[in-house]
Amino acid sequence: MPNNDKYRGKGFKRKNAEGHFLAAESHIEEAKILYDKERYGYAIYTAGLAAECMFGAFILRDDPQHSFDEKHDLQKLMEKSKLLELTNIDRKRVLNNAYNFVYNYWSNRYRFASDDEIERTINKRKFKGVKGDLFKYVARRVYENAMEIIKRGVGKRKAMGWRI
Amino acid sequence: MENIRTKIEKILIKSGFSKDELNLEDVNVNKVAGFVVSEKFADMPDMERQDYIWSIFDEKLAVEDRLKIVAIITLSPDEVEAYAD
Repeated sequence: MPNNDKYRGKGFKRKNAEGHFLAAESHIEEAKILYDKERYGYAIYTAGLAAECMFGAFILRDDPQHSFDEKHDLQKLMEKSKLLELTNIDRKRVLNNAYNFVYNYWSNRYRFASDDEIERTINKRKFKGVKGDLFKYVARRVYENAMEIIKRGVGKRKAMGWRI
Repeated sequence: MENIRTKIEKILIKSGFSKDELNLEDVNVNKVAGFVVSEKFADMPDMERQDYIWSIFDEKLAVEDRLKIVAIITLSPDEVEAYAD
């Protein structure tokens, strides 16, 4: 059996910082499209993936040979990226809240799950003060909060004068 | 000079968390990140949890120390279990 990686996909594995950055921007747009189409589980997965890509972009920017031993551990990737290290305390609080929500409701394992399965997983969680469709609510909040992380990445890139 | 992680652990313990509920680590250069896993958060919405620990930091830490907190995740023990499923 030929190794498929030899023929396809290999070039898309952990490429460069710019590739990760563009993937982050693309995935957050896709998350919104999925949300609008009421595919809330995939919207959650794709929004979290966008945040993961943005962390990856800044890790690779600092260390182009980074081996990604963190795999999909969002917390480790976030720490390594230094993206949430800010000098404005108010903005820091906003980003901390945003990251906390994404971390709490995203899982890399959702890529192996159907939308229904993700819905069942989300609905097992306890929510206070949320009326109506919880799954939709979580999807919207994960999307909005992942967007805060993407905006932070975009802002930091501009401040660094990093051209793509 | 006291390390920021040690300082934050002491503050959280004085504010009613137990040592077992804290899983903080030193990251980058004198920064801290990690998890607070507590039953206190079980009936609290996410924003309230973050406001809860940050109100402690606001009261007990100077701005330069608060800026050394990279991110602290707030979870209830049930959520850790759900995450591990």
